[in-house]
Amino acid sequence: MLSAASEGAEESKVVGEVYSPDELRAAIAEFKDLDWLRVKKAAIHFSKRCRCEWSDLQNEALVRSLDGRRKCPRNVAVTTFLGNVIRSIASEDDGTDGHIALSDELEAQQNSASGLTDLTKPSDPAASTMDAQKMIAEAISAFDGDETSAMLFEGIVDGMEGQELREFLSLSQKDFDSKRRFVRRRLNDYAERNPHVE
Amino acid sequence: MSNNGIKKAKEQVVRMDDFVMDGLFSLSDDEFLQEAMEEGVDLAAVGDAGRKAFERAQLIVGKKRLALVRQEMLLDAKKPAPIPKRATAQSDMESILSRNREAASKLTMAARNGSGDMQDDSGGILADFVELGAISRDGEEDA
Repeated sequence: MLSAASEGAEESKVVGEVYSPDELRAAIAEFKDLDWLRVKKAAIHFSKRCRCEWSDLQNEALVRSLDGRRKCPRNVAVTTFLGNVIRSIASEDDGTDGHIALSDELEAQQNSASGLTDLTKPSDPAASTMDAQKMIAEAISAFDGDETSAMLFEGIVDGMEGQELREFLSLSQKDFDSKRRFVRRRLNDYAERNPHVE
Repeated sequence: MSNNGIKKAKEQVVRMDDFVMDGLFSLSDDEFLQEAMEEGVDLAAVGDAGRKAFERAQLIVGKKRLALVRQEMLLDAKKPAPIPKRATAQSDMESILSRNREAASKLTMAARNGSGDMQDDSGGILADFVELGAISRDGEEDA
């Protein structure tokens, strides 16, 4: 007799490791208002990258998900998956217009884990680098002279870990968590108010 | 700019995106709702817009599928009918028809039109039988 665990494994083998387009359609049809807000905010953040309207980016992600070009692993929340599709589409251009490509590490991770495979490298790395630097500078300017927030942001993009960064900034855990949240919301807000890279 | 500089700038953008994505998609519904209320977001309007975008996307995907089906049907219609080896296939067809006299009378164009000769329609019947697999494609003549 099969144990519950092995029955589950058998079942997942039968139905596959990714949602079918019909299953994905059914899941998206059940989205709550909050789910749409998460997806919208992701589209707003990444629309700067491909110089298009956030709604166009969101639409493209929906179409590619529904027609089966992008496949959602069963162990990934569908909202998160749509956010990743948006991120991936925003990174697709060839780089001649200055887009930012995802890192090789993330490309490999997405290729293997979730079938998000249409990522390309920029043909002009220098142009992309200029854009990358401009984007980071723009983000820092969003903190309007709030030194602690700017330093926290710089620490995050430089890869400092939570505890190390918290001690570096001499913040209590509560203040650190609150500041992290403020930084993320300020980035969202800035992207919403300034949809395109100059 | 050095390769290290290029790599560093790209990695910083990736980490910024990771940070934003993590915040957006790992926050609990309660926390996210609280943020939305603080920001004065019209949640119902965001939801409606999302659902409309979803409906549009479904329509686009449906139209694309329909166009593909039409394209396949056109290609299929343009495909030349298989031409089996006349002697073998003719004998196969007569054998089938002789075993099914009643069906044969319904199959022929002559019967459908009430005029003509069954011989006139044999090419079409042969093609139909090949299509249905009643007569083997093996030994088809080149078109």
